[in-house]
Amino acid sequence: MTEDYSLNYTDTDIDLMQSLKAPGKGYWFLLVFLLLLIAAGAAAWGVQIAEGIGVAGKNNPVGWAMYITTFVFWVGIAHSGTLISAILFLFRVKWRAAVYRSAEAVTIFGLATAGLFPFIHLGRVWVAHWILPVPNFGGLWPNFRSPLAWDVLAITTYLTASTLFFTLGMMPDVAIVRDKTRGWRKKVYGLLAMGWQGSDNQWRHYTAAYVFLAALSTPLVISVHSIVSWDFAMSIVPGWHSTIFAPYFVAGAIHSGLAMVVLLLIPMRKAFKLEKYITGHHLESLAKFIIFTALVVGFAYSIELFVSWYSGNPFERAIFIYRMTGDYAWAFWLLITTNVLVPMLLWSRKIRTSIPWLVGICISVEIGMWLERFVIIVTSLAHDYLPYAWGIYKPTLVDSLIVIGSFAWFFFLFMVFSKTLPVVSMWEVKEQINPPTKSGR
Amino acid sequence: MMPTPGQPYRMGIFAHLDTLLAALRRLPADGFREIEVYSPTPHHEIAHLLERKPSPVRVFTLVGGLTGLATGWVMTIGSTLLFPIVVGGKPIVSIPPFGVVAYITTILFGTIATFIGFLVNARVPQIKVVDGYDERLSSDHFGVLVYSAPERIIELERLLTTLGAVTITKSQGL
Amino acid sequence: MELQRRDFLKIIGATTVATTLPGCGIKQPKSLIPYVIPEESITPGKSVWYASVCQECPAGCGISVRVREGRAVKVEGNPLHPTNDGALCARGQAALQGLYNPDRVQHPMRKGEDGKWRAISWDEALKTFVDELQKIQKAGKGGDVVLLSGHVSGALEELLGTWIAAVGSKNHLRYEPFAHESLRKAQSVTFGVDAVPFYDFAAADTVIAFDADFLETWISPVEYAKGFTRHRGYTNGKRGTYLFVGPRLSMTASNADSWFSVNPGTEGVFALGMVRVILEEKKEKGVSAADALRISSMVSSFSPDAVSKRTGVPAEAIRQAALIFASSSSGLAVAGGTMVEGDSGVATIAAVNLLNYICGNIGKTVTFGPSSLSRLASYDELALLADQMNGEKVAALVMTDVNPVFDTPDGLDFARAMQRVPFIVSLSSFMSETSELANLILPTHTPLESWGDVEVREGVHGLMQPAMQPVFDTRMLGDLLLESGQKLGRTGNFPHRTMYDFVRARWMDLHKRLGGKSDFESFWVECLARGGYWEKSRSESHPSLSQNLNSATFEPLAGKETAKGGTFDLILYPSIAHYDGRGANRPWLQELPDPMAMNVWDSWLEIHPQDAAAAGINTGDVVQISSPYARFEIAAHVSTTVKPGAVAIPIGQGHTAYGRYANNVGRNPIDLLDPKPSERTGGLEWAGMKVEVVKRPYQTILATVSGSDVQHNRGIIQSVPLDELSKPGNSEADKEQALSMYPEQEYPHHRWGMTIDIDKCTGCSACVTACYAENNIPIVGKEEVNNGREMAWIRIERYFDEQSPVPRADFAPMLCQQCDDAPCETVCPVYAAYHTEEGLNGQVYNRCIGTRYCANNCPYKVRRFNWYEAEWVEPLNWQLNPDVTVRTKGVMEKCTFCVQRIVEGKNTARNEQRPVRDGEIVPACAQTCPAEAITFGDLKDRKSRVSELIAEEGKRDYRILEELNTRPAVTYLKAIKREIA
Repeated sequence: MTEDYSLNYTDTDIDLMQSLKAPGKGYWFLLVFLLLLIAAGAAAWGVQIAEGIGVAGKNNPVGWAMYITTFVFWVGIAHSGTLISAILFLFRVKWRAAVYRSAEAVTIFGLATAGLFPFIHLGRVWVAHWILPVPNFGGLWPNFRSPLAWDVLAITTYLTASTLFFTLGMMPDVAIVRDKTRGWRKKVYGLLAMGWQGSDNQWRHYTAAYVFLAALSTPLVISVHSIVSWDFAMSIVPGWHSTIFAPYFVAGAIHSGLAMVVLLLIPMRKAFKLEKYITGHHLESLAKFIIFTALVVGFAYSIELFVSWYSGNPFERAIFIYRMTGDYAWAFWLLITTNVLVPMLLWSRKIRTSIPWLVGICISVEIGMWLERFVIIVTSLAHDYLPYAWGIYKPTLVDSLIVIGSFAWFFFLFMVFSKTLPVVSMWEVKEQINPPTKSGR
Repeated sequence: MMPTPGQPYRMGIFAHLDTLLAALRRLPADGFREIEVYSPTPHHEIAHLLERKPSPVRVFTLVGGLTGLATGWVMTIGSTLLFPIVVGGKPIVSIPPFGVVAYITTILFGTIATFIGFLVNARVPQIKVVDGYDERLSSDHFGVLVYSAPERIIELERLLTTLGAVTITKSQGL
Repeated sequence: MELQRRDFLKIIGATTVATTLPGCGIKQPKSLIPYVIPEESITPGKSVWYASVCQECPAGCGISVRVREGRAVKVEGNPLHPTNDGALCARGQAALQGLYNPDRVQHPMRKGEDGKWRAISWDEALKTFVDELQKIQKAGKGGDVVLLSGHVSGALEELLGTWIAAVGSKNHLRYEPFAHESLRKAQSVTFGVDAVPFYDFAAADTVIAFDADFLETWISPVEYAKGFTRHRGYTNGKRGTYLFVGPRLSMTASNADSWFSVNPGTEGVFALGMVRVILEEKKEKGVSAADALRISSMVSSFSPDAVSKRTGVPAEAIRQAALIFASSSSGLAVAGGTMVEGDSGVATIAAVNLLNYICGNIGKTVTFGPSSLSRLASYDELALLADQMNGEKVAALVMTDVNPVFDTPDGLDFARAMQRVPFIVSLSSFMSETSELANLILPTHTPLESWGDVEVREGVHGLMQPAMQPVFDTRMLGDLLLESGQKLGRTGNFPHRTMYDFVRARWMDLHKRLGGKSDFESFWVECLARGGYWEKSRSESHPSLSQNLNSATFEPLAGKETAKGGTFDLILYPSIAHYDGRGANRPWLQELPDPMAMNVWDSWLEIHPQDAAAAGINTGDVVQISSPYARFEIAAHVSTTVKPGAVAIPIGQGHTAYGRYANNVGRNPIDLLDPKPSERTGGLEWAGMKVEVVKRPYQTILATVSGSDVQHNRGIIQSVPLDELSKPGNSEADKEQALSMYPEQEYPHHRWGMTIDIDKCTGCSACVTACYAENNIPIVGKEEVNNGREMAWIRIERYFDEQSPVPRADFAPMLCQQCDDAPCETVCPVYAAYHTEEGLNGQVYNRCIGTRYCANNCPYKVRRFNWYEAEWVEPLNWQLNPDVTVRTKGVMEKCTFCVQRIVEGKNTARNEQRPVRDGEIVPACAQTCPAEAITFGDLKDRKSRVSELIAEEGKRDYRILEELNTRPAVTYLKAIKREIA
């Protein structure tokens, strides 16, 4: 079928199940380290609940800061997963098979991390359930006009959809593991495989379901981050209230998401010796994709600036001048560099095929995308309509620990996943390679 | 033509796809029409030879999606009419924002329904795999499960061997 | 307006009458916690109003205290009192935090040998007090006992007099840090009457103030603000003129049409310059030719050019000012305050007197009559006392509510002098730097717990009655004096057992003197309800020019370099929040932003940007200020409120023994001054000191609430030139209906709205404190304010004018605008923010989950989030308004238009089966506003005052950030600018 693989069905299973072998020292050390960071973050959150949200650096006028920044960041990270697994599937892109499993894991764990922040940032998290779309507090429903209410629905939907998609794709592989292992493992994976045996009837419904799930997830890639962006665009805060926010945020999301996938694939393929499956070709394709998203994001920045100038709206102008010259100017210029300029290096083949360079550039993109959200959120709030009410935000120990903890949490989840489930979809790789034949044709 | 419950069958395990396909062409000719194929990945050749109807999962998807759409509108409009609270001077029934909600619920219900559709049709979860299931089937072998009248079992086994089955497993009992 | 206001007064009056009689029942201390013995006078949920007199400063405003369930919860201006006519300043509002102050002396205390305080019983306390004094009497030293009190009048003044006489001494000093020595001397020099004059701002259509901060702390600020803004406020095309002459742009100055920033100490020169111009132009009024001649001879040397050289103001400006003032039908020139009370103070004020005299204002806007202020001891008397104490000529010192150790310069070393006095008793409510040095403290009731009467100005009899049972184990000062007096003197002197009897007796006399038609009881109850009795006729003298006034009087203005010390002129000004420092232990006042500097919980050094740049000083830097008498470090505040070459520090901070809220906050600048009294004035030389300012290499936190000093041309404060207003033209032209995607809001019954007249608002911030008191707003402290977490529901936004060449500031009260199309409401995911059917932006605290989205989306940034659980210190929490919930941590809160008052008003109306009257519902901010800048009412009612204001002021009404189309319910009326020279 394709030339990419000089592989056969038998080796595929053997190679790809390497990753499930018992982990080494380094793995455990890293895991414990991450757990400690998570504990610190959790403790910080405990303090915040006990003391009040004041322990985080927010104030009047800056009511949102690092929590929402990190929320948006992780939702963004999540996007690449669905992009690769669903959209590339619909377009029958071949190199998808090798990388999409990890990408989807990124989606789910990204959302699992992002999902924490709406709770963390609440003043009274103990009554958070009032925001759920069920009657509460004397039969009162949430206000569906509020972008926050949309957020809740959008994120839950996204998490549900991608989890189902993930589970479905995983089923045949779990069955393989079941058939290849013995003892308690066999029992566990047997349970997870839900009695999958690959009969043609199962495959028939399976492929149908797979296509539809992909088709349904595809609009989510666009809509979820659009809705997240409307948290800002629907407000009247200068620097937020802008129609370009939806596409602008989606592009940013995919930008950061792809970078994250690369950052996870590289160590993984090294650790599990998957170079045959996740080849340089794959990474290069991702790198090219990143050039594209970088350009889109850069374009968005310039349009944003142009519109604020062209609008003649004094408040808009003031905000952008403040962003470029004010208290957070360093962040603004840093994000422009790390998000747009640095990725331009990928135009050179030498650089985009060099692993160290690729890692460096992807890290730079992650930093940039986090800063982008930070700058948008904080600068706009810090200097809005009434000059008298202006103020600035300074991070504190508590909110910093929580943000760091969230990163630890994400990587922790991913590491656990990488040791317990096949990180590359075996059945889909087989789809790409020649089936065993007597004639050998 | 589904097999009658408790009807005996034999499963031929094939190491190669082409021999399998040959077998699939041959078996119906010999009157063995109740056939099920097991394979590590889906193959359109197999689906083609077996001439199955398109999967009814899509119906689940459609119904689920429409239900979601309806739910979205009913929930938003209904809840606001239940508690007609004015905010920001906007109408009680504010269509644009409610549209967003309706869109999301459409997708939510759609995905859930699709998954359920799969589970129902593919008969998962199952407690145990079919008798005579071979562990190589998920990896690099193909299986043909053929139902037959008890008196033709011997004939079937012989046929499968000649077609190149590396192993033949049997159903419970006979 | 008048009519409705009167109605409102009647209502208040009625409630008070109805409740006062039984109210008397709870006067005797029974139990600290109301309700142990339920009083028939206490109806749960029903407010009782007690009229009394404010004692937070010598002005003596009338107050009515709102009492709920036996606890005083709010102090408001008494609408029936002639002085303040319903208004009250921030300090008056904060009297409650004096009453409930956790740092009050809560029981008698005696200092042991080890110098430690020891709680003792009242019996022991009184015994020691009397015994010690009797010992002294026996030793024939009775004459060496000194009684040191603050400004007193009426019953207490009389009682203190008899008491000290009973002890056998004549030494009663009525000591106030701001005793207006120069002001009084100047009157006697010019008119031969040693008195603090009465100024009638309400009758003046042109006011020129020489340093006198009459809108902040000077003599009677609330009365003056009322009169001033009422007369100056824009009404059918006319508006008063107001000029300010002085080196500092105080809040009072920033209200002026023009600020003439003269060099410190040359205010008098400016005045004489004006006098000369007026006489030359023959513009004088009602002055005999002889007088005119005499005066012109005195001012001959003060030609506009000469004056211009001295003052630094262009000659033309001086001419202009003179002509405007002279051409006014009734003008008023006032001079006073710390910036004038220097060595040349008498000359300066005398010059201003001349100005008034030649314009015929004496007897019209400036009148003279007996005033308790005129009986204040001058600083040199206190200095003399210090000498006597050092010379061990004082056998005993009895003090009540004075704090000379704090408010006299270190140089005087009053503290050391006190150590030479064998027996010192402090009869005070609070521990203080001075009380600390006493041997015995007999804690007294605060004014809100006491009987008494006050007669600052003759004929204005204010009646004080306790609003509630004593909070602590304290006694009424009057009772203490009577009880001890009976033992010390001949009982004949003290026929009365309690202060209550004594006051009643005094009022019987008054009743008789007035030819008592009605029987006394009803007169008494009436007066209790009204808060006193105001006599129509007042004995006022119309003095003529004194003979011993001559050019020599103005010698000090000749311009010889008299100032001592360094390079910068030092300006000390009483803080509007803390006055002489007595307000510093009230947390509300500590957290009240200074109207000009916008800083809280601190004191600072104001320095002009030029000088600051030269010395490389930025706001927040620590600088060392040094005079020949003291040196200390203080935070710098770079600001154009002072002119180059001058630095200013607010007075009132720097306490060391005045309770947790006052201690170690800011610095006490009084120490910088020369302790020697001025020979010329007999007062402390508040002005004329020169200081050095050196930058220190480190910084400190100066907590401010202002994010920007200018409005970046955003039209938040809008103004219109006066002549444009007087021009006829249709106001509707610029008022096209704003388009909206949304349906018009329907309001079945009311649509509450407000107008705020920027032109009237003086920036005094009384509304802010009133709001804290009414709505249980927590204080957060310096650090949290610095983090941007102050909780004020209404704030005064001070913006300096970007266009104007001379610094000028305007004030915009900013509170929830209760928008029709409120951005805050839509974004709340749980409907915690919603729109009520009366147009309020409701905020359901217990529904709020704390997303803070509403605050982000509020363009006016008036929403306040509870970052922590608010702490309510016992017994300050007794003050909490039972009609308003206390908010928990994690919820958003904001101005409600005092919804609790709206509900109460509607209920009253319903019970009386009538519609709500316009002006009957008044939010706390509008109620207390001395400038009457805030008007509240029903916008649906076309005839309501608020609707009328919007309509009639057609050319002036605007809504802040109108372009956002949030449709606020608060309409602002533009400031009016009038350019002079």
